[in-house]
Amino acid sequence: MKLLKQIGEILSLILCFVAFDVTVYEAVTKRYINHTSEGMQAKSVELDKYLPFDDNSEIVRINSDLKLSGELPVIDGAAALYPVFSGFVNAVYPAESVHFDGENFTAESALQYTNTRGAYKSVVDGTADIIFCAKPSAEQLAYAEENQVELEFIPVGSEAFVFLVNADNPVDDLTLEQVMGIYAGEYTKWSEVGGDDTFIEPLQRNEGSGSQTAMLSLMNGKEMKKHPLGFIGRSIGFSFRYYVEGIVGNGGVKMLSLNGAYPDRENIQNRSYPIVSNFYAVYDKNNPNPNIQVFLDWILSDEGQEIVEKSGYVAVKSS
Amino acid sequence: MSEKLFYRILLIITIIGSLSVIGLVIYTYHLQSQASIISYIANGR
Repeated sequence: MKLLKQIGEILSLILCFVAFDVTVYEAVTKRYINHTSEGMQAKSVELDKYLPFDDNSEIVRINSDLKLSGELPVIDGAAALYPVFSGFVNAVYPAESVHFDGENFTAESALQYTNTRGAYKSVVDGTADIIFCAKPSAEQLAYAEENQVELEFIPVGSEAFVFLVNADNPVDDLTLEQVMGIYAGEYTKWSEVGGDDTFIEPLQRNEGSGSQTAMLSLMNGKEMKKHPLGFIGRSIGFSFRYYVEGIVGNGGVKMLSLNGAYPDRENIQNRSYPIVSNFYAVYDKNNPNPNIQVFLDWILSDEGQEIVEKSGYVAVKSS
Repeated sequence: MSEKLFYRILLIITIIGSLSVIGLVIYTYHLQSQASIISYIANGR
């Protein structure tokens, strides 16, 4: 009898540890497992998938009469825009100007990729001549000011700022007011916005990323709050449309309509989708490189805008 | 089973169980540092 009791206690202890580990794994650990490739995990975009001058690349190719020579502007930018600016380079730069070592662009390459935060630093530090990004954060603007660099912003395309949820979430549409209310902590359960009785977990991005800056701008100074039990409920996050749809392409998430308008190209172009923002070519106003203006003029020409459109974005100059 | 053996077994299970919890927490923290918001939403509900 005593032996049976002891065995029972031993098994109970083992069961407690197993149950604890399984619960933590199912509720927390599993959600952080990243199913994307190592390239995506390291850089938010697979660089070799959109390399210029590469036969296997998925970038948009066009034949242009313009071929830049001489002092080539060094290009950098955001992950979401990498397929676009890589396409620009492919169209008008000489092939020998791009050097890729299999993982990164080398220092002498005219094409660089350091994502939004790195790119804003590079254009201020002078290691990049033109960067392609969303609007800068307050810190990025302050960094430019500290270094007495006057940045010029040329809109080269537009894109929808989207909200995404798990594909199984019954909610398909929110109003802009509801989205802002969720992020301000005014709505804490999905049932308050037409969904089921689960907590809302509003997710944010890293400080200084293009989408986090866009979200802060949308909230217009309103503090973002999160319910402490949100992590046991259903999440909502934000990004830019093409990054979600084209670059990551994860079938486990869906984009939400806002005010009844789904973020497709048509609704972006006719502006019925309510949050459409430009992305910009950004450069130092006092940069003397004469090719900067030539390159920017070409980007805004039919050829450059064709690359923007065919890469999955919306041109600023619709044909 | 003697009391001594019984408590020794409980101690070993507690040590192994605690190590597995610590391991899981470290693994989760490591995953969190490189988590993607899109994967996180897709893996959840």
